[in-house]
Amino acid sequence: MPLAERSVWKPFGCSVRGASHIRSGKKNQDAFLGYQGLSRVTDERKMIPSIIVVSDGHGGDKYIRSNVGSKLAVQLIASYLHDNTKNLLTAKMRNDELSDAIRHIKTRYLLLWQKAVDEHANKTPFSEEELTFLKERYTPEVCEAVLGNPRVAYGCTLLCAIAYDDLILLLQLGDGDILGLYPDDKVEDLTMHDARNFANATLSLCSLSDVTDIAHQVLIGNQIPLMITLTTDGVRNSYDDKTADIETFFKIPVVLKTELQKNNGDVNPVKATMEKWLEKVTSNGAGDDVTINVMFDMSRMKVTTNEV
Amino acid sequence: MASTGFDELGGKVSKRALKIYWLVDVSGSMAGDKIATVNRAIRACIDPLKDAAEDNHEAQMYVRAMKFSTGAEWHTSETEIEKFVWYDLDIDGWTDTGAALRLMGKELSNFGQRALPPVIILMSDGEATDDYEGGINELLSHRWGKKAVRIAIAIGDDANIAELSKFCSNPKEVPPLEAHTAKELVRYIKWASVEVSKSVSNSVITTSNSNSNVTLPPPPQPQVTISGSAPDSDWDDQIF
Repeated sequence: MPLAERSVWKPFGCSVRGASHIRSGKKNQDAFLGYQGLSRVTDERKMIPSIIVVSDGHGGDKYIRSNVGSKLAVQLIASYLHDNTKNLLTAKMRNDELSDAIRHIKTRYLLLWQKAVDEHANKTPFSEEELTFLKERYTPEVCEAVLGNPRVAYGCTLLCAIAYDDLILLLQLGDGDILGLYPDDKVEDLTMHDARNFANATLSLCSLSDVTDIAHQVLIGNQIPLMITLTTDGVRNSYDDKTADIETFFKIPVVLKTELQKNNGDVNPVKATMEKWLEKVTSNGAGDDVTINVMFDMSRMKVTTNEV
Repeated sequence: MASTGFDELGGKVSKRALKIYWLVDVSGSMAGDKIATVNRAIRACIDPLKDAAEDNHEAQMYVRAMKFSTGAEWHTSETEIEKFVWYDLDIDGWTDTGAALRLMGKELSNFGQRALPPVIILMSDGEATDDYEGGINELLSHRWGKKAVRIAIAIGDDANIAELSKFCSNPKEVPPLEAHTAKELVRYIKWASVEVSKSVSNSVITTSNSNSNVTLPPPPQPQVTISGSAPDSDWDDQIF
């Protein structure tokens, strides 16, 4: 028996620059990342969780470095969880142990992001071009607030799914959606809705002072879906939630499953078709950057996959 | 290329709705130049709004007007700006601003999660003759009522500024705009409709305790009238 083998959770995703960002010359401010971990815990080798993560850099003009903030957001959570194999989560933990461990992850992650952003801001002070951009759009008070707290310029959200051997941890700060696909093509909305994410406003890593604002959810046993999708709000916002059109959004995991099965688990053609579809979504929809990050259980989806 | 499941998803992808509401006082005191100027100003907004909508590829702009006097009712249905036609308002009756705010609140209760913050422009030359506080409370009891961009325009010298301030989403930075001349009224209505609507779809912000999620452009400054100077536009500089 091997000491460790690849996790059953396979990630893939894609991101398309928003139609409005193409027109205004803004970069894609979404970032995503995923990796397939190692399963089977032994004394010799700790498991490494599989992870998918998405971060949406705020589109407002004030957040002039949100594309950097979102890249750091996904890289740091992924590298932290990859390297930190001392405190692995398991369903066997007592509730208080689990809560402490999750709080530790959130606290450590927030500090890592803040430190990385502060270092970036120190090493790369705002350029003349960035300052002019701000001054042309905002009052001196607003400019002063950004310059006085450069983290604001890096504002972004976080959506994350982490698959350990016997549980899945979901983390969410700010807007965006988490869907789970279950047997019989049942789709559950696993999004941790927060009333503060409303009317173009969102919770953000840049203004976070209390880590309890990072919502979490632990899935164990039959709560664990076959597939999890993380999407930035540009996808859902492209469907009218006052009509039946919004139902389309909740069919995404089902379509992905069908496409994966059709392609014998090969994620590359699925990614290609998903990307073309996302281009249509942003062009005809909300115009925002659009990102989908997916993780599926190969064994339960009954697909064989090529190694990534 | 063979069709994919994504092509067969169905469901129409659409732009987010950006809605502008004009709430116009048509009480008896608005007779004459005041109501005539409001009518002309709103007419004058339509083309610039169409231009703004054409430049805004991410939102579909809708406009709707309400009139209030003795009671309140919708003057137009919710219409895409491209198809919008303005029908002049006539005056009659009291100033039931509270009823107007209640009707507005009812409208906002139907908003979906994905909408952009609506722009509500309240125009009045007097003070409410009904339960204004109740109307404000009703409007603000809706989550979209709290997050709407609410701008008040006081027409003439008799408008109750304190009352209108309670309506404004940001009374410190954008208090009621006081229009004492026809020219000022036109400028304020245009600014509140056209410039503010441009700001709405570009305002993703981090959460705060602020009522509004939209950073507004600076409002036009009141014009200094120099005695004997000639009007510099097509509008008569009628003093209300």
